Amino acid sequence: MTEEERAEARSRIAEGKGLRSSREVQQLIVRHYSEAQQAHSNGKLVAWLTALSPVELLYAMEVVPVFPENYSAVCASTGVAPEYMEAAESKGYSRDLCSYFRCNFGHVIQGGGPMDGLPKPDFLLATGNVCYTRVKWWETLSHTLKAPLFFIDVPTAGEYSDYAINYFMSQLQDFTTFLEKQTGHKLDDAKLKEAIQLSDRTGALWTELMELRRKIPCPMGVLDALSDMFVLVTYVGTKAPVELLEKVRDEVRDVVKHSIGVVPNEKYRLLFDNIPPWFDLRLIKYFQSYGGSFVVEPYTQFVWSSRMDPSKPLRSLAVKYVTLGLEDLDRKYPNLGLKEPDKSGFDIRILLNIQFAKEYSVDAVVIHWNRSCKQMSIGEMEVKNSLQELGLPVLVFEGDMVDQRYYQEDQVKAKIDAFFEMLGQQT
Amino acid sequence: MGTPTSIFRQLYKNRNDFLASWKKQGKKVFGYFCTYTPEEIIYAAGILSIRTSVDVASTAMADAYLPNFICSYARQCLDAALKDQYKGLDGYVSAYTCDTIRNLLWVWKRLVPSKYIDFISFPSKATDKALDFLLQELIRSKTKLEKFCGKQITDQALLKAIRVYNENRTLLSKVYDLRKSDPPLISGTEALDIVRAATVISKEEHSTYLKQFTSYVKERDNLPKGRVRLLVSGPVVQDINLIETIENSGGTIVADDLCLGSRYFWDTVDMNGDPLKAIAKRYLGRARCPCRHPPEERLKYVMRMVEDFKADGAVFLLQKFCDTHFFEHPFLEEKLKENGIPSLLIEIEQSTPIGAVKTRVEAFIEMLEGTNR
Repeated sequence: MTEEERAEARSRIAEGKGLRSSREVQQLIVRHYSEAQQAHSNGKLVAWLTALSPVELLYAMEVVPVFPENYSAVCASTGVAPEYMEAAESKGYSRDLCSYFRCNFGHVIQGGGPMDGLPKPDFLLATGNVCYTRVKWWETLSHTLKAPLFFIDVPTAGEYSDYAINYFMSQLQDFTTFLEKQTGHKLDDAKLKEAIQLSDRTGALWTELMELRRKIPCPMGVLDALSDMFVLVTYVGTKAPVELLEKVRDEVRDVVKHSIGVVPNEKYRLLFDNIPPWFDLRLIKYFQSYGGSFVVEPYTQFVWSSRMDPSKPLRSLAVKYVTLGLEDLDRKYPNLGLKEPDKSGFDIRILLNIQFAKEYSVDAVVIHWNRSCKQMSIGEMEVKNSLQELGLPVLVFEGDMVDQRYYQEDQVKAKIDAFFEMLGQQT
Repeated sequence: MGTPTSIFRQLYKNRNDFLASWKKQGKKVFGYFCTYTPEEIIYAAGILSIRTSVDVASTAMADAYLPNFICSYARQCLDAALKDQYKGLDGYVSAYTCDTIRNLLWVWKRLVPSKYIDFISFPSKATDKALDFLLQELIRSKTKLEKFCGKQITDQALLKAIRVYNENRTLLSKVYDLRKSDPPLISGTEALDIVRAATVISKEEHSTYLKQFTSYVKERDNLPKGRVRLLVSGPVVQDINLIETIENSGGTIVADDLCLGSRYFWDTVDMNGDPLKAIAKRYLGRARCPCRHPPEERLKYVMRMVEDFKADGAVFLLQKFCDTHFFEHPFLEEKLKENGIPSLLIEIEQSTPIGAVKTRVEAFIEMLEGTNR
């Protein structure tokens, strides 16, 4: 970046417009979907993956990955999701099922959609590391699209044992054989090593960025982090996220040097938990209008900062995708005892929330009680209680990440108004 | 204790009496949520394992901790625990099935004082590699339990547990065989009363009652008079009223694909070879619930039930918010239809309005009769 560009970036941020580099994400989103559309004519295979699948391996095999979860978020933010969800419901899929799924299934049976839609998959990959909902979703896709499904079983998320890592690694070997059969060519070890190296570099940059957000005022907002995450999900293992995050990092460092906050007049540093309502990201701006700045969200932490060892590619992938970042976090916070056998994944989540609240100088917490993500939402009241015990005010609003029918904008805004009024009285 | 048929309902109703007498002998009791918990290991440690069951419809206390968009079974269990209804339980062992049950245990661990809690990472597919993993996990779980009990769990103790559990499973299968004839010798309500009781008392006690029941039934003359033969499919259905309502609407339930039904006991453990490995094999390969991949395996099981028990139609009793079941429903419905088996979907909650269920089942049965004619 030239000094002129830096100055321009600084004034943009000072006006509350977010990072300059985040604008580049938009181009990468377009590039991702157009690469997917052109894959078949370029002689490449297309795979539909659950997010947090070992995508580095697919890049090494030159398969083009597509992420239906991300696409559902895109459908929600562009307003086409309701129609898709209704189409899925008319085929007998309950309104209580995950809205990412309903939106995606509606897209599959109806076609169309933003970015010219998704190309048909040659095969499907589901990884069981986040929730079982996605496994059922991918089984349904396999039946509907008549595409073969490979399922990598991860019996539990966030826990760690040697045999869990070995189980994952042995399935990765089977998956490699599956890939070699699908693509008709062998895995090139050098290419895999390169993908792992790039993945490691991405994790290192992300770690640095997340640490920079601890600065007061916070130089990088939740909208910037969520945009960048799109690139982390889709492109990890390639150069794209490395190149992007280097720019973001330079810009953020510069902003920090000039003590500029991403929210002008930062008054309250906020922690956000759960997946945001993608159809109403303006809500974030509403918090900003009260001087509320989202400085940390567990959703953008954990696995995204994973470091990898290129000399042990399969093991690195297993550690990353089984423990979802726990291995790195345990190294970072040895005093929390994250790997003690009696700590459940949920205990770990609470410990880390408390840790984040301290490290990021958090003043208050906002929780989205997201109907579509049971995995994240079941324990949300205990997250709330444990943070309240630290003396932090907590706002909980009910909603859904895609389905607007479960979200009452007026009520949510009234709750936010009351919350900031209460915060104002406290200080 | 009443006629042999009503005994099982009494056993379930008075399950706390059994628990109290068991505890009086200075013995321990563990609870479990899903039938993937390998009970033989707990038995081999000298501990009784029972399924956490609920009578009350209220979830007011649990609602302060759990969202209202997860299944009422999970909310009811936590509610009962917060009301001290599981005071007699010394611990809980859960195995991974669905995300709700996994997270329930983790919230539970923070809220319900328990001397012992263990979560078994259970694979979702049944391959040789999954078996290797599960065996390691069962060794870990067993070692943890040994530490808690202060004694070793020997192979002999495991083999005895397998014998006791296998006997009970075989007896239950024989009870189910009584339903293959036309008319069946027992009703679906009776069958499910029997299975439900098996989850809240000791297997030895239950097997003793089962033997008496089987010899009694062969001499009875008031047989179920349903006009059509039905299979019921779904997750855990603890409310026997629902089953009775279906049978009072003109159908007889001859078979099931229920968690608190055939799926609980259908498969036995191999008595040969390493007992722990045999246990792992049984739980991995057992009648699948939709938390297991791939759905085709469960479909095979459902189709075999339909054929062996000659069902004319199927009723899905699906617990609201039970995602895995709702995901599989359109698939199963379509496959059943392709095989000439119409089905009806009823969504159930902790208090399902019985009148509405009756109306819908009656209409469904009339439709089935029309097709059969």
